[in-house]
Amino acid sequence: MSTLTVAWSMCAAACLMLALLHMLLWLKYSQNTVYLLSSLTAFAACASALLELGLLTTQSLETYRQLIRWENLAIFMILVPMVWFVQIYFSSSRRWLALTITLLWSVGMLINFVSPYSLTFSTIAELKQLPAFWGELFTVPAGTENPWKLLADISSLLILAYVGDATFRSWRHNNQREALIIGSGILLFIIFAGIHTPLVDAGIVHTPYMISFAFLAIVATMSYQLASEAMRSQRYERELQQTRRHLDQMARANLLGECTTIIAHELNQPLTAILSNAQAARRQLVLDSVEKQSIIEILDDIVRDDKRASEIIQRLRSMLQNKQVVREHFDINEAIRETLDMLKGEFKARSIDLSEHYEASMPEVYAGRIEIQQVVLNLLLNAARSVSVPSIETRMLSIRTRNDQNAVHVDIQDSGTGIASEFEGSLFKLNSLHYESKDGLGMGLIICHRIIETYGGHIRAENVAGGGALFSFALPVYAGQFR
Amino acid sequence: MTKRLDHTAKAGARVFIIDDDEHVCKALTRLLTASGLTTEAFHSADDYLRLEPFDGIGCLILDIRMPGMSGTDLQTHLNARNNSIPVIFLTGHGDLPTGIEAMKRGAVDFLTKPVDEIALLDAVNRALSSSQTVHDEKSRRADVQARLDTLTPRELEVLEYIVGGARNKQIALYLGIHEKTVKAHRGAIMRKMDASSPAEVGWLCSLVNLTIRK
Repeated sequence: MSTLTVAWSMCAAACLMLALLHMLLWLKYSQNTVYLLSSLTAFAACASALLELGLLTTQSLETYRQLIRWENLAIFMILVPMVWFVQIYFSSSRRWLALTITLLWSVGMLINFVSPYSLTFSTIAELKQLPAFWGELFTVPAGTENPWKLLADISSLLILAYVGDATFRSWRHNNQREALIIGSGILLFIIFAGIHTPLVDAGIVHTPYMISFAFLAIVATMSYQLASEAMRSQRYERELQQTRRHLDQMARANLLGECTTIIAHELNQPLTAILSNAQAARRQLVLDSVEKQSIIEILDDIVRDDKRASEIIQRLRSMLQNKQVVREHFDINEAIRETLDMLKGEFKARSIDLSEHYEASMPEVYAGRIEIQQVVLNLLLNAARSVSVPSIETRMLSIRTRNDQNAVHVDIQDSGTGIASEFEGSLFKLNSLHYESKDGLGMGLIICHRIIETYGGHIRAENVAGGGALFSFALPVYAGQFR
Repeated sequence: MTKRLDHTAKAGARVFIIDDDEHVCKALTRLLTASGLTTEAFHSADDYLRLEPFDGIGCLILDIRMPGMSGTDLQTHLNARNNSIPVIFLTGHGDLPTGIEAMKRGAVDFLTKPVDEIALLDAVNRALSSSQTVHDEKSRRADVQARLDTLTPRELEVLEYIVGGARNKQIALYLGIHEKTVKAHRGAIMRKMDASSPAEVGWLCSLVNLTIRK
């Protein structure tokens, strides 16, 4: 088998593999256009290699004429995506240059297909067979250059200028690594191809065209850089996930702490009643004139208060258990009522006026019940905190549920201090997290946001005219869930 | 050492329980009643304030966190009205700053729920004996005032000089009357005030507001 065929086919195969790889990356991260562009470049480089092989081995003038046209198209398809790759990759590069290059090349392509002998030649007189240094013969055309080829030469020079400029700027912007690998990689191989090809055309260097290898090198450079970035971003993602998990745990611990305080206070009441009742009964029994009925009443009260205490503990347990979240269909109104049961004592003690409005026929939502209750709990605790400031005179808190065709909505409004302007609009974002926040308020909201988004819902916060804040979240309702 | 209450005082004393939890109120009422105390329970500070101001021997067992007026608010309110009824705080939220603040404002004790009967009854005893002291003082003062009210304006004038340490001769000079008349007034004052010496008159007068002339 001929060395030419083997070498150029391998080059094409390598380009194809990289093209497919980039295409896969693009499908995975479709928001990242660089993968699409690098993939296009690689596909075109594959085509170019195969076409070049055809040019080197054909002996028919007609075939040569057709192939060189397509080869020019392949080069166009390599260079233009590459230019835009650079444009996106180094965002500081000059856009007008990229546009000019694209335009020039497009005109070049037009000429390529209307002129009889492609953009490269105006006529091809004959095909000569020259020996390569390993002895194999390859085809070289002899003819007159198309004057329009100047267009391609100019845009090649522009590409050099463009990539050079982009590299330089990126270097100055402290992206030395990227600038070095991508910028100088592309520059080096374009210069190589740009020098080598005219020399072959002019018959000075007696080797086949080797444009394909230069392009393979360029595509490989791009791949190297993109792959190492993908790896790095994956590592970041893992780290981010770890941070999130950690935050989740902290938020949960925070919530647990807060709930425990509330529960401890609530537990004190039945415990006080139990202790005093028991001690009263003992005192009564010591007296001679003890009434049996009175002792029975006391014991009944003790039993009732004990049950009351265990209910309080049960509520806390079901609210904060750390078990695997199960997605289930449930009535949001009921879930909210349960959460409120836990807080009502606290609200009463803080003299908070609570109003509840539940829409009667709510469709069921499909989500993690406990998680949604945690969201409600978080939002209610925040609201309670914001109205418990001494400067707030009317302590009002309202919770309302409503539904439209697609979603159930929960609104929690308070008459408190409202959202500080510096946090408005960024309340739910991780980067706005104020770690120093004394009660982990920011953290709780980020977790709320995550939970709601997990179930395809959305959450928002706004200040209310006349004071206070409104937090609302919505959860989607899937068709056929009405009961 | 806590002064022990005499039996009659304890019987007449009243313990007001103010807690928004009715079960707690009921249990505390039972405990205190079984200990021989008279109690009255209220579910809010406002309910208690609706009651006629109580001026007998008594004390408050007061929760802090309640709907409406809080326990500490009630204490401040009573202080502002010179109501001297002793306050025992009984709360589930026994945080130190609140406790210190309450004690500074004159609370007898700051107890946390659930409370043991020994601690509670000890605090109640202390509160009631302090209430009794205040009450005794008050009734003695009222007694002195009643005696003073029987004096004529002239006798009152003479008394003011006596308390100021003036001799009969000086008083006669100041008032432009005869020394014998002053002596007669003095006799009437000692009788009406039920005192055996000028020193005792002076001590009695120190319990009330009296202008002292020198």
